[in-house]
Amino acid sequence: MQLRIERRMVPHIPWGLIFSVLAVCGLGIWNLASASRPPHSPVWGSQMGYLGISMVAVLVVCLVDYRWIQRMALPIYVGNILLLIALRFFGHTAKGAESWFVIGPFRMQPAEFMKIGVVLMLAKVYHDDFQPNAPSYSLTRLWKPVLVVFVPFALVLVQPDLGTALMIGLSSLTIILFGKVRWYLVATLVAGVFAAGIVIWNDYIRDVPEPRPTIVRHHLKKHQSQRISGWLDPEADLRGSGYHAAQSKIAVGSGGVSGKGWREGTQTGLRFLPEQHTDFIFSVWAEEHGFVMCIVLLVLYGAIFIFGLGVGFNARDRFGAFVAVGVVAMLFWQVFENIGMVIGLLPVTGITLPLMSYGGSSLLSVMLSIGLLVNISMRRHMF
Amino acid sequence: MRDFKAARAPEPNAKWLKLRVRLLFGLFLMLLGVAFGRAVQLQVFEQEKLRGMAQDQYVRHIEIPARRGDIFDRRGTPLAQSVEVDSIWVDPSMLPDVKAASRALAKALKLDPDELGARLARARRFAWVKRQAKPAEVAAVKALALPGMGFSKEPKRFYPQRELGAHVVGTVGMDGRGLEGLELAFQDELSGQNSSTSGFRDAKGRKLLVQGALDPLQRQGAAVTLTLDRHLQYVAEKALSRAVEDAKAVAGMAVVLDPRTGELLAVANHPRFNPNTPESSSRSGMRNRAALDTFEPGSTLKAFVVAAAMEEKAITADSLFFCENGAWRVGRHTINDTHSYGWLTPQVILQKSSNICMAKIAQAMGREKFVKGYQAFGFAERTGLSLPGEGRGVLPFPKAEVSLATQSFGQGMTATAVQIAAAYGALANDGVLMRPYLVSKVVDPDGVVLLENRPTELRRAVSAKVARQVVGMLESVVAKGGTALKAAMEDYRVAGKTGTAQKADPVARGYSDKRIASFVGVVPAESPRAVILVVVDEPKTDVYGGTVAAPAFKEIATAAMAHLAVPPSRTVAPEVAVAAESPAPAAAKPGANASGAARTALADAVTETPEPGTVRVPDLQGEVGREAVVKLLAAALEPQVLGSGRVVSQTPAAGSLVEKGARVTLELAARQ
Repeated sequence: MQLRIERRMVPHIPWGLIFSVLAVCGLGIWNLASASRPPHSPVWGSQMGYLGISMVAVLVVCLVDYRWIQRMALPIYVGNILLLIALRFFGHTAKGAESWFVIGPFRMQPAEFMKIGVVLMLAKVYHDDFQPNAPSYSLTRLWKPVLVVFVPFALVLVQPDLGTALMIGLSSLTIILFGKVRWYLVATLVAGVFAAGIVIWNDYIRDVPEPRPTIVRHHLKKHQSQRISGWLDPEADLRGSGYHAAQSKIAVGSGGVSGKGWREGTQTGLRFLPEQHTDFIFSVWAEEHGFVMCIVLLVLYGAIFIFGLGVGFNARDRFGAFVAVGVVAMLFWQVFENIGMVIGLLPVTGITLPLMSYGGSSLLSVMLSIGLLVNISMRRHMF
Repeated sequence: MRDFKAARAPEPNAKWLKLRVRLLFGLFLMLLGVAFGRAVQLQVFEQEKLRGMAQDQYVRHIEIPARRGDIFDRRGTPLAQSVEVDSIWVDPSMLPDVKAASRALAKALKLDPDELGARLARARRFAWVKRQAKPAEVAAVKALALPGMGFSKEPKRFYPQRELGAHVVGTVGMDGRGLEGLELAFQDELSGQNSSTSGFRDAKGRKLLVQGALDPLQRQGAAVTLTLDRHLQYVAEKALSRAVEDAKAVAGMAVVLDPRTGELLAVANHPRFNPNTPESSSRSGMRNRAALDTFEPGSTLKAFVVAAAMEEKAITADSLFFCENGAWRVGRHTINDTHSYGWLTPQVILQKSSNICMAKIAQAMGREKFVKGYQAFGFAERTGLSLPGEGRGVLPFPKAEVSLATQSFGQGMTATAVQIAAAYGALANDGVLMRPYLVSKVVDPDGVVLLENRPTELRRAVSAKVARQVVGMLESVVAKGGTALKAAMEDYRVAGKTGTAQKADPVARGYSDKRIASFVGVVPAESPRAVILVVVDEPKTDVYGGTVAAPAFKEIATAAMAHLAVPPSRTVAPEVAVAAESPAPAAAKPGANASGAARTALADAVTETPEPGTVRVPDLQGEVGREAVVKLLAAALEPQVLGSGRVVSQTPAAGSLVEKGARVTLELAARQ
């Protein structure tokens, strides 16, 4: 393991990616300063601290050759799994979920790092499993990647942290699909999505007189069912299941095209959204800065994805390409799910918005994955 | 760096990889496009709607009540005023020890400590400690120096004349809304326009940042000026109270009316209540019965039958009627007089109050003319006093012979006290019926007159000649040989009529032995300035209007003549002077030998069945709401129910005669 930068790496530093990431980080802290304005605790200060720590971590990750990381993928993966298991015994319970380690003043959420562990491990599996001219993956050949995903997925799900488990599942699914699977698996997947859509339409949307013939709804528990109906029609139960969805819709929409101005947002200032500095941070941005700045933020995220995929596009080996794609997929699904939930496209789940939400673990894990991208990019032609 | 040599060359089949990266990129772009579209929808197309929803959530309008308008008597004496008083509230979450604090507060304010403690423990951020507190209590609470205490000004209604005219003025609830009387009737005018100011409210419902100046729309309530005269009202209430107490009666009412204008100078009710502490009396005790409730008036109505008969030329002042020596069979019934009389003129019929001859006069008129005669005087027609719930009175068409007879002496029909006074006003005003009124003016603070009542002629009931003749006949009532010697005055000529009506018995579905004694007088008889009606409900010592109600009339009339500065009558009727000198033996005589005969006359009326088309209201006191409704429906009446529980009061009263299908209002309350 060596920590150095060679001269030939310099031209391949992805300045576009770094610029986009730093821009989003800067906007994030500015926005947090508004979300946590007096009389609430000014968390944007500690976020600055986390950002500093994360930058150092990124630098360290960039300096290590990623092939060393490739060899360390299994220990990292196993270590993360052990941490998740340890969480069952030493974890701190907050809001009904055991997802935190509390060490002195710091709180750590291992599930955030598990995401990176899964991506690395999957990339390694696909790298080692490579056979030139082999046919696409069939169901039987997929057992290794599926096992790699399933163990952490199950561990996070039982915390219970449905949101993070979903993110692990979605980014892994993207990698597996990227790794070329048989057409019938793709077809099954597409059919499954359609079937889910039809079930939801039948059970919740279709306008039929009661009692409606339901397919799945009567098997669900009441609060699960309410979450779906709250997503589909938040106005129906403003004080209960639809509260978050309706309030974030109101906050986003009331911002209009130009926004209400920094620290001028009424819905933010009057605390209509309980999780406004973490999960619902985008509603603060949308309310105070309006549609135009929302698009700017979306474009910046889009730039991160483009540059990230570009890294994978030009990666030197399969491992690099898979890691890059996996990291970008992970970031993308988080951004999409978070923004989608804030603007009422997707059901409410506890997902943070990468680089914008307050939270050390979240910021550090995102920055570490960005570091991996930079690392892969810098070492694209090393012979 | 050992691995460098082992590393594979760039893969030959990197082509598929690049294709997949592009595909993935396409997918991401598409999904971002969906998010973009949603942002456009919310922030561009739905922004107005969502901004409105946001404002609905955080903008709170705080109503600041306008000062309620005052109520004055005709001379500008305030009967009801609004004053600002402190109300004390607390934020219990700021109290270090709620229990100790509530004990201290309860001690300072003389409240129940347990109840206050429970109230403060229940509330989270706001609880009233005492609304409309006295200044001394506020000072005592301030001296406790507890954290979280708040004081705010609230308007309170204050009645400086206390019981005076309380039934007319009515009262307001804790929230300042009218509950009874004119306070209720003129709620909209008195309350004015509340101003509102807007403030922010956070997600927990706390009010923040009250901003902006007072709404310019705010305006005080309008001032209401009544026709009542404070002095006459006082005299009337005092005289009425004495009459009711002397007779050990349950209630009473008195009305003083100016016959030339229709203005009500006094409307008194007994028992009285203090509107400053309305909680100490029941809702029914606050009812302005004199203006609202109907009853069977009895003989006081005979004057109108005589007047109408003379107007219709059915009789003349010299007609003679045979009074059948005290008992006369009409169909299956017998009508009795208190004494046996032979042939009498109308004047003596009124003076002696003969039921039999009245029935004959009614027969001579015929049914249609008889009913028309009553209607001309305004009976069975709402007076339009602008009071809610005013009774109309019932005048059923007398199909049966006996009904015609009983109605001729004021039984089997109902009227309000104000109706009777107004009808006498028509006799006193040369036959022209004036519309009685209570509110002369409603003026808003800018001086705009919202409502003004002026003397209004309703119609000519009888010709001036007939009216004067009947008033002249009525003068003999207070003269020697009349029924109301106690009403005679030394300096003024009085024309009047007694009434001793039977009260309907709701249980036996007929008449009870309870009486309503009344006297109505016109003074001075030669140019009347006041009509005074005194009604005493269920007198116990003596039942006759001439002995129970007439003295109160005289007391009111004496004060009224002095107050109105009426010159004494030029010629004092000699008979009246004699009567005044020795009233006691003269009054005692008819009273003594009247009772037996009267009893039979009244007992006879017991058998009288109500006319088809009218029913008696059953007594529902204490019934469960559902059963009361069933009974009302069975009696072909329309129930209207307020509250829940058991019946505590009903309007019209039990036993009163009403038209079929009439509305009966039941007030229910849960029994403690």
